[in-house]
Amino acid sequence: MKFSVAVFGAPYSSQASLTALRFSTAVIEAKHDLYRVFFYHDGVYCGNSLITPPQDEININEAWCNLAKTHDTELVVCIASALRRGMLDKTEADRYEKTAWNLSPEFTVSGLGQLIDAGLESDRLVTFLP
Amino acid sequence: MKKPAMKKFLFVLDKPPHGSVTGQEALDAILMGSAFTQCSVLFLRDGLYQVLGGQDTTQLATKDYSVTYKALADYGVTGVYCRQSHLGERKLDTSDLAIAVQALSEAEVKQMFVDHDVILSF
Amino acid sequence: MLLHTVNKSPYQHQALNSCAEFCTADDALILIEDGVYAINHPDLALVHSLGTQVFAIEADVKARGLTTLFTRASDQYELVDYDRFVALCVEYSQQKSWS
Repeated sequence: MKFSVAVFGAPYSSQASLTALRFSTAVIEAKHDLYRVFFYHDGVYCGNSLITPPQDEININEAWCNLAKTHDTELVVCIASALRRGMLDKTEADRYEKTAWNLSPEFTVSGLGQLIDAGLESDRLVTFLP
Repeated sequence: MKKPAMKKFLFVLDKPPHGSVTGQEALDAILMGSAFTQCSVLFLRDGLYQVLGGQDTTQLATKDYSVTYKALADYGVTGVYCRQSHLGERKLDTSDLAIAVQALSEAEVKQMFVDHDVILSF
Repeated sequence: MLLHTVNKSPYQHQALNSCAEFCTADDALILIEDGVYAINHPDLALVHSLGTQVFAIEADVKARGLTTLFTRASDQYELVDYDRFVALCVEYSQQKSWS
């Protein structure tokens, strides 16, 4: 079955992104197809490559990146939500003439259409709210 | 699986406006959804305040996006619903709302969930 | 056939109460995150009495020290892992997230 996951909660501030991570891993382990993980609202902070928790704590950004690297999972942050919250990749930073960017390369910046597409193309869209 | 283009989306809002950007980002998603497929909106509990008439955000210096809710029909979103008792609990009437909202019974709301293929909650 | 997820304590938030309003005997509820604090709350008993199947994420229950409370009510509520959560999503056609 084809799944997509939507993450609306910021890492650490809410458990949503951690639950979504566990759920996404279970989807893959059950041999389902994980079509896309879409990060919306505060969920976009999961893409922050500068997240640096103490060494004995989980790095939620790194955990998502590892999932993407291991299973070729598509991680998409909503561009409007991301820009509003200062989550930029290099392209957006150049476009808006910002001096820094912070989005991990495993994450793609794209439009809300990718959330709607995930709902249309997947058998299940599972949402994790903050 | 249904053909993607035939899928019906239900957007459910139960948070009030202005305390967070949730309502504005939900609206963005609804408008995007309406470009691709049939979408309905269901306001539950405090979500009703998203479309309460008379909102004026001038002093907050935030965007008054309730104006955009008024454009839902222009985007082809004609199914806009709430639960009748949630209006009553708040001493509201559909005439207090800035847009036309159809008030439903508990059973009708339950049916609303069943009738849609994808539910997006905010 | 909805799979409801509730992630907030019913003592602080309306999420479970909202869910209880629209649950049916065809639906299931899975308590996740702080939703597991609902274990002894009347709204959870209400959901159960409607015939809705009730599950809770074991990892969340254990982390919060609620295992004993859930064991006492094991005839009503089933503890599940994330694999089962995924299986429930397959079984039920839509998910409704309450927060």
